[in-house]
Amino acid sequence: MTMTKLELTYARPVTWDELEGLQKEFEGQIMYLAGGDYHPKAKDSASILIDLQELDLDQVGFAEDAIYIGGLINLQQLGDALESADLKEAISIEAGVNLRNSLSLTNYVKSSNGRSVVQICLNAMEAEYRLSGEEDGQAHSEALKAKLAEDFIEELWIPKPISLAFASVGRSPKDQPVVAVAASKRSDDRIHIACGGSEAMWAEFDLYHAEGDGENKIREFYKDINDQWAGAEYRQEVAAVLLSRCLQKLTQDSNTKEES
Amino acid sequence: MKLYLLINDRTYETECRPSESLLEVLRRLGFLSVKSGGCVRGECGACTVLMDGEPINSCMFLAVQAQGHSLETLEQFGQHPEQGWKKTEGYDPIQKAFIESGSIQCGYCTPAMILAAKALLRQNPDPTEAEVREALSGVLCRCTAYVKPVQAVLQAAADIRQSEQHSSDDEAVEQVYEPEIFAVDAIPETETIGKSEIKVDAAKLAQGKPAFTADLQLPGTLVAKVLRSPYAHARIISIDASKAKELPGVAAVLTWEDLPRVAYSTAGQSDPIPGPLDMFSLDNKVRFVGDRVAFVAAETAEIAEKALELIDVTYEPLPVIVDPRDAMKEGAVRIHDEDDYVNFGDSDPAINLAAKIRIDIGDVEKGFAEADRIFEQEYVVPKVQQVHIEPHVTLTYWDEDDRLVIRTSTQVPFHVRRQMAPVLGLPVKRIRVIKPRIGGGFGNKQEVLIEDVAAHLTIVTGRPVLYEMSREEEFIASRARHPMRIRMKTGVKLDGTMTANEMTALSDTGAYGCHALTVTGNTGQKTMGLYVGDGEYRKHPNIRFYADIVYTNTTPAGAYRGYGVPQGYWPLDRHLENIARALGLDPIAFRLKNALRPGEVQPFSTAWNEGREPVPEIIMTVGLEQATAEGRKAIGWDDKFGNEAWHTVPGKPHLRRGIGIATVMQGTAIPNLDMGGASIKINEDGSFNLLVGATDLGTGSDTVLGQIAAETLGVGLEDIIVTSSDTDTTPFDVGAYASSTTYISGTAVLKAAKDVAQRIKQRAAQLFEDKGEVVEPADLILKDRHAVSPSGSKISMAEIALDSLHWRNQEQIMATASYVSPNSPPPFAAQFATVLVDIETGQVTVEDLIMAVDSGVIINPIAASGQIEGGVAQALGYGVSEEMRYDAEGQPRERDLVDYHIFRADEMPAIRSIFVQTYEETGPYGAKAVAEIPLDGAAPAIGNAVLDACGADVFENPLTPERIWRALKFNSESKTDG
Repeated sequence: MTMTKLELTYARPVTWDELEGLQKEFEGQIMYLAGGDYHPKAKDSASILIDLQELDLDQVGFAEDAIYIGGLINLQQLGDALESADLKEAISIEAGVNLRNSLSLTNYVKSSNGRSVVQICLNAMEAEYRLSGEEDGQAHSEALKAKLAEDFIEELWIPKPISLAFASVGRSPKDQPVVAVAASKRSDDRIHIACGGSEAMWAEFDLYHAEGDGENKIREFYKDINDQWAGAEYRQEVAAVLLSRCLQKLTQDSNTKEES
Repeated sequence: MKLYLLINDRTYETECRPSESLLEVLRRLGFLSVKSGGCVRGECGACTVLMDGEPINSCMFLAVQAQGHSLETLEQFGQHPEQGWKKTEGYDPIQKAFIESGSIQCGYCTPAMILAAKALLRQNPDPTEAEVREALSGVLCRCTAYVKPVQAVLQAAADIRQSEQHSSDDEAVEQVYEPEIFAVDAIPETETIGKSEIKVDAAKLAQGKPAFTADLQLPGTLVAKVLRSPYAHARIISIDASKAKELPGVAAVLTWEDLPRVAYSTAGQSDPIPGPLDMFSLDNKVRFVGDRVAFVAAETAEIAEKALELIDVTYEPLPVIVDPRDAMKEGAVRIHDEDDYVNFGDSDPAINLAAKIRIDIGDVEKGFAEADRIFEQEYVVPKVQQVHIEPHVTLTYWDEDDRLVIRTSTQVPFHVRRQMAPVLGLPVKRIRVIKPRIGGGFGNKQEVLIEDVAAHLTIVTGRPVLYEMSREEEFIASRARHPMRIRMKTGVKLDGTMTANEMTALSDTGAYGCHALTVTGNTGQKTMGLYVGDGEYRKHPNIRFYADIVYTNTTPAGAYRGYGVPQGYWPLDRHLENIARALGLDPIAFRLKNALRPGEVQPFSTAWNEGREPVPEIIMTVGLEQATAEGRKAIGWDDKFGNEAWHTVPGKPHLRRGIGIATVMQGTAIPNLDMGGASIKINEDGSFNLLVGATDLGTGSDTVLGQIAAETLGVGLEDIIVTSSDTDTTPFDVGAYASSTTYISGTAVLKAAKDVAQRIKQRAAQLFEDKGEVVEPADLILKDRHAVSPSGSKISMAEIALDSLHWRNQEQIMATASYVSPNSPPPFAAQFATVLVDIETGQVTVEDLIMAVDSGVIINPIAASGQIEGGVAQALGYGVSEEMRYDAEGQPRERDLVDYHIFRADEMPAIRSIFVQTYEETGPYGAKAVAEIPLDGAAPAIGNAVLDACGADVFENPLTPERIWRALKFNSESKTDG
C-alpha cells in the first residue's frame, strides 16, 4: 500500500536557539513558513513546519551605508520602508493591496521570474540577500531562488543611496510587463541597470557616464528574447526607449537633490 | 493539532491539520462570507479577511500561522435591523452604502470589498477616490467595473464622518448612483417600474450570508478532483487507478472504463440541442490540454490531490491542431473519430467541421458591381475567458426520497436536469436542480460543465460530493469566447451608401462543438443585420455571411456574454471606420446613414434563426440615432474629433490622444424558442410569492421580475417574495442567456400578475358591494397595497387576501403563465472611447468609456447601469488586455489571473452609462434587453480611437503595445483597397 505523509508537526520558535535546535533535530525534513506565500502547500519531504514569524524577521534597520530589511517583511512594508515612488509603482503593478499585505519578501523572491517588476527594481539597486545561517550576502540569482526552496532570507540589504527609476510596458497600467527596465545610481557614480519582461530572462549591467553604450547593451540583451508575450525586435526598440526615460529621470532626480 | 484562532473578538478552538490553509479552516468554522475564488496565487482576493486590521488573502496563509493574530470577517458587521422582536443597530455604513448604491451584482466579492473598505476607513476616514481604488485593488470584481463600489465607499466614508463628526464643517456628500436617462418615446407613468429599487438579494449578500453553492455544508461530504490531460491530443492506452484507490481517505476513482458511454453536448440549450453531440463524461481519448481523464472523490481536497498523482496513465500522443486554418486541410488529423458522434446540420467530423453557415440576403455580387469602391480586410479576434470570480461549483447528494439533488452554480437549471438525465442513467423526475446565488457566470455557466463529475461520484459512493474547479481549471478546461478570423468585403458608393456587405468567418470551437453553430450565427446576424445601406438598398439590402466553425485541440469555446456578437463588431466597426476615413466621410454620419431604422425588417430575420425556421421581423424601436447624439455630447466629440490641439499632450510629444466610436446592436431573446414561466400567489398579509424559473446570476433579474409583479399588483417590491431557479418548485424557464430574462420571463410575470390582479379585483368588488358600494372589477385600480374604487374608497390587499383564504368562498388567488415571443426587438447603443497612446512603446491607456444605450424602458436604472458598466469593463479587457494563447503543442499560456490580466479597481478608466428610452410595445412595460450589448462596442471604439490618436490601424485585438507599435511601423503593408 502506498503511504503518503499527510500528518505534520508544527513549531513556532521564539528564539534563534530554539530554531537551531529544531533545525538539528529535523534536518532534511523541514519546511519553513516564512510569512504569506502564493500557494502555501506542505512538501511531501517535510515532517515539520517551522513558522518563523516570532523571530523578528519583519524589521527594517537604517544604517549609514544601507537599509537592512528582514526576510519576512511583506511587499507593502517594503514599499513603505524605501521612500521611492518608482518602487511603490512597481509594487503596485506586482500586486493589489491584499496580496502585498500577504506576500513575504522571502516567498516573493523565491517565486520571482523575469516579469517580476519588484525583483527587477531590487536588482537595479543591487540588493543582497543573506540566507539563514550564512555569513555573507549574495546577489539575486537562479541559484539563490533554488536555495530558497529549502531555506529563507534572514536579511536583505540595499546599499545607499536609494535611487531608482523604473519604467515598463504592459497591456494595462497594472499588468505584468513584457518589457521592464530599472536603473539605480550607485555611490561610485555607476548606473546599474536591471531589465526583464520575459519569464525566463533577467539581465543586469553597469553604465558609466562616459561610456554611453546603454542602448547597445540593452538591445543586445533583448535580441533573442522572442516569446508568446512579445517579439525580440519590439523589445529591443522599446527597452531602449525605457532605458533612456529611466536615465533621464535619474538625471532629473539628481538635479532636484542638488538644487534642494 | 489544536488550533486557537481569535476571530471577530472571540477565540475558537478547533482541530486542524498543520497543512490546512486559513481559508479552509475559516470556512469549516462557518465563516462562509470568506470565499474561495479558486485562485492559486492570491490574485482574486475573494478570500479576504482582516488580520490585525489589514486586508490579507486567507488562501496565502496556513491556519496555524494565524494563531495569535486578530482576524475579522464580515460576519461581525451589521445585520438586518429588525430580527423579529429583537432590534439591532442595523447595517454597517459600508454595507448600507453597498446595498443602496447597487454595488452588489453577483455579490461574491462583496464581503472582501467591504472588509477592504473597512480597513481603509479606519485608517483614513476621508479618502480620495484614488485612495479608495487603491484600497480595493486587491479584490477583483468582474461585474461592476468598480464604479458603484468606489462610490459606495466614498458615500460610507462621508456618512461615517457625519455621524462621528470627524469634521464639523463636513458637508453632506451624496453620491449620484442614478444614470442619465433621456426619453425618446412617451413613457407611461408607473410606480415601481423605472425606480431604482434595492436588489432583493442585496442585503443578504452584503452580510456575506451563505447563499452560494459551496456554502451548504452537508455532513460526510466528499471532495472531488479531476485528473486532466497534459496532452492536447492523445489516446489513452491504459489507466491504472489501483494505487489511488488504496490511498486512505479516497472514496472513489472513476475512469472511462467505469462509466456508461453517453454522447452529449455541454451546451445548455433547448431541445433539440442545435449542435453535435461530441462529449462524454470520460473517454478513452483526450482532445485538449485539460481534458478529463479521471474523477476522484476523497475525504479532503489534499487527499484527492494526492490520489490524482497516483493514477498511472499511458498516453499515445497524436498530431495536434492548434491553428484553425489547419483544421480542414487535407490530411489533417481527425479530432473526433468516435463512432458514436452525433451530427447536427452540416457538422462533419471527418473534416473537423463542427458547423457551417451560408447566408445570402439579396444579391451581393450585384451590390459589389454597383459600388464605387470596394474595401477588403482581414481581422482577427482572440479567445477570451469569462472570469466569473466564483468558479464552477456543484454539490450533489441523494435526498431522502432517493432523488438526486444537484445544487449547482448554473445559468440553466432546467437544461441541466434534462441534459444530465441520460448521462447519469436517471429519469428527469428523479433529478432536482437547485440554483442558489451565483458568483457570476457570463455565459460560462450556460454550460452543463461539471454537474456530471459530482453526480457520478455521488452515484458510486452514495455520499454528498462537492466539486469546485480551480482557477487553473477554469482557464484550461472550462469554456471561452470563440476566437475567429474574419474577412470583410464592403461595397460603397462615394456618398457613403453601402451597396453590399460580406463577412466570412473562420471560427474555432476548440475540442468540442458546444454553441459552435449558434454563437457564430450571432456573429453575423446581430452585426451585419445593423447595416442595410441607404435609399433603395434599405428595402433590398445585399448581405452575405459565411462561416466555418472548426475543431482544434484547444480549450473548447462556448457561450460568453455577447454570444458571438463582440467577435463580429471588431471587424465590422473597425472596417466601417476605415471606409469612412478613406472616403473622407464623417464616421458617425456614415454609420447612421446605413443603419437600420424603425419600421424596417431586420434582414437576418428573413434568413436565420439559430438553425430553425426564420421568421421575418420588423424592428419597431431603434434609438440608435438618439443614443449616438447623447453619447456624442457626453464625450465631447465635437470639441475633440479633428481638433489637433486636443490630440497632443503639452511637453510630451510621445503621447497622443484619440477618440473613437462604435455603434452596435444586440438581440432580445431567441424568437419562437425561448420560453419562461412564472407563478404568483397571494399570502394572508397581502404579500405575494413570485416563483420564476428564470436564473438571476447577479444581473438583478429577480429584482426586475419582482418590480414587474409589484407594479401590476399595486404593491411595493418588498411585498413580493421572489423564489427562482429550482426545478422542483418553480415553473420552467430556459435560463439566463440570450438577453431573454426581462423580456421573456418578465412578460410571463406580467401575464401571471395580470391574472392575479383580475381575480383580486373580482374579490374586491364583492367586498365593496358588502360595504354598499357597487363597482365593476374593471373599474378598480390596484395601488399602494389597496384596491381603489372610482370614488376613492379603498380595501386593503390584506383584507382581500384574508377574505379569499379564510372568510368565504375560500380560494388561493394564484396564477401561472408562460411566454414565448415571436419578436426579438434589439437594443442599440453607441460606444465612445478616448485613449492616450504612447507612440514610442505602443502602450494604450483608455481614459473614458461612455456607452449610450437604447434598451427600451429601463425598469431599474441603477441595476441597468451596473450591467452596462460591468459589461463595458469586460469589453475593455477584450479591447486591450485579454487573450488566451497556445503554443504549437497546444499548451495554454494563461493559467491564472496574473498572466490573464483583468482590470483592477486602481487602473480602470472612467466608465459611464446613459440611457435613451424607447417604448417597445412588445416588451413588459416597454422594456428590451440590456445585459449583453455593453460587450459589443468597447473594443472597436478603442481601436478606432487608437487610429484617431496616431494612425495605428490594428486589425487584431486586443490592442497590445506590440500590435500598436507594429501598426505604427508597418501600417500600410496589409491593407487592401480595391
